[in-house]
Amino acid sequence: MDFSSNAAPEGMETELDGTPAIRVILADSQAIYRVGMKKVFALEDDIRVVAQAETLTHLYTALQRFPTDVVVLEGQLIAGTVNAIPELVRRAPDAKLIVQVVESDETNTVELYRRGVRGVVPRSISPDLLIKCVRKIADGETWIDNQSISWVIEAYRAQASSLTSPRSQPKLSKKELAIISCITRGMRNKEIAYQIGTTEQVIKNYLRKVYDKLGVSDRLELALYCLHHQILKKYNSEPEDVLLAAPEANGGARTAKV
Amino acid sequence: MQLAIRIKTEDGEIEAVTENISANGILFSGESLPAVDSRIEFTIDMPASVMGSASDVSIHCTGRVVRHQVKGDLKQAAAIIDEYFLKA
Repeated sequence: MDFSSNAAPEGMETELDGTPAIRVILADSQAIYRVGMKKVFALEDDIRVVAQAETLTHLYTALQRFPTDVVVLEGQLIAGTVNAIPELVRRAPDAKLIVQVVESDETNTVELYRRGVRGVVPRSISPDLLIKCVRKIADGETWIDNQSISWVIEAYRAQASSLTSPRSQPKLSKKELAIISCITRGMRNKEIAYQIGTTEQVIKNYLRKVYDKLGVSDRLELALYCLHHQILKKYNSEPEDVLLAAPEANGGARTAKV
Repeated sequence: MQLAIRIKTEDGEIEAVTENISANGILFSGESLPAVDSRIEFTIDMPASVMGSASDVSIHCTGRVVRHQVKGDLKQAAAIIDEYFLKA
């Protein structure tokens, strides 16, 4: 962890026209990103990088040590964790979180906003836009692009719909359906991860969400649910790019445990 | 969910209809039931047309019967599923 050399001691943040500077922590596993963002923010009088963290643990420590307005957090740092965002919100309720993601994904984006993140931005965001984003979020606003607004509203509608008619079928994303399809063909998490082009941990996260949505507890119940509700029939009649290859040629049986 | 299945028992195969299945077990009805404590095997076929897959898929389960019961004029047996695998 680097408590930045230009970090002002606690209580001595730069003020510009009487406005306190925005205190930012950069949490990123890659030094090149931290260095780059720090240089970008260094040119702004109203933004001060108070600390840098390369792991989640370091971030917790930094938040404890430095009063913070905004955390710019690399999405990869919280990949595979379930409670990292709520934990960050709990530990530093005044710090507003911006998560940088490599690619936008409906499920993850909705989940991030649901858990308390104030902004989700691409890793490739331009410096000017990142600065604007930090200012807006420090000011109490939420930073959300049009696509994410649609996803969040859709999730809100689906939630409202399921509350008013509990028997309605839960909405599953295309990726969730692709993973379910793989599961019912007996594929292991590792194989699905390889096919979808992600990690095994991400597949496990998706599965937990799918189980919660459908109210099933394991692969057997998931397969039976698919058989009963025929949710894959409709999905597979509308082929998606996310479902790439046919089942393995060896067709071997696989013991199926979550 | 009611599905017609063939159950392999220690005394041969029997035909049965599922009344309820979960991760923990199965309740099924049939004319003749396997004995309590006996081991059973059964396969649930899931047609490609329903599962949207290129070929049929199936769930093969092994378990053991834990009790018998009568509901109306149905003779039923409950079994614990010890192991299962999905096969394409």
